[in-house]
Amino acid sequence: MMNEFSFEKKATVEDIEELSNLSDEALKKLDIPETARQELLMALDEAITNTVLHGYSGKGGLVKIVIRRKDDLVTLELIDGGKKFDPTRYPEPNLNVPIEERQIGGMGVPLIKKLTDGMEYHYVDAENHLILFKKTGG
Amino acid sequence: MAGLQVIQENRNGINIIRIRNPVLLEPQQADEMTQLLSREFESGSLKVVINISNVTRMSSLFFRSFLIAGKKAKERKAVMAFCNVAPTIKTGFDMMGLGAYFTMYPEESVALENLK
Repeated sequence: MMNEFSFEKKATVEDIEELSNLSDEALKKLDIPETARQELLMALDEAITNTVLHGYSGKGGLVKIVIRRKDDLVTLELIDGGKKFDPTRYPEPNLNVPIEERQIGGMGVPLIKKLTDGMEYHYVDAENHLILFKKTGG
Repeated sequence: MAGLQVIQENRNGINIIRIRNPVLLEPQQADEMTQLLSREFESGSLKVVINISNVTRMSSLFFRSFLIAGKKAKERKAVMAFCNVAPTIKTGFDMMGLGAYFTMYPEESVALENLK
């Protein structure tokens, strides 16, 4: 059985928390186990923040979020018309270095990758489509 | 949009920063955190404990703030530690390799006892 929620909103810096809250409500309605829900939300928060700060350079633009659950697989799709950006090609930071040598920043995309079970990116009709997959285990 | 809300206390030479916001996602809040921690170490604090018991969600913008502060602490031979970290946030710290740089204590009292 497939369940789906979606919403579209203008996304400025001030809207990040509201977008996150709307996503959390949708994830709760889909009855996703607690740990998986929180990890998905953390991943989505990173994706939303990247879109707002980098895709739209903080100036705002529309973001559509589609959340689907089919059995134990949850799919989150974030669609925006911001700058083209393929996170699947983003380099991994070196985590195994002393703090003095550690690169500052650039943790959003690597965190999304680690919190989810898969990621796809498509650029269609001048829109970024970032799709995240996670198995709920429940 | 809520700014960063903290309560600060010094106990026996240990500066405690208790974050009141439950959700930390906004860039402005992360900038405020970076500035607050920079001031701490630049003014000579040697032991700082960050209590995030109220925080349920945090973006990697804050991991960046903590990394900047951790570098400053290291330069000054100071210590920065965390307590009451929610499991998902701890997962984020560990996934980004930050767990290797900062000690995390289960409770504030345990942190204070260990940093005496």
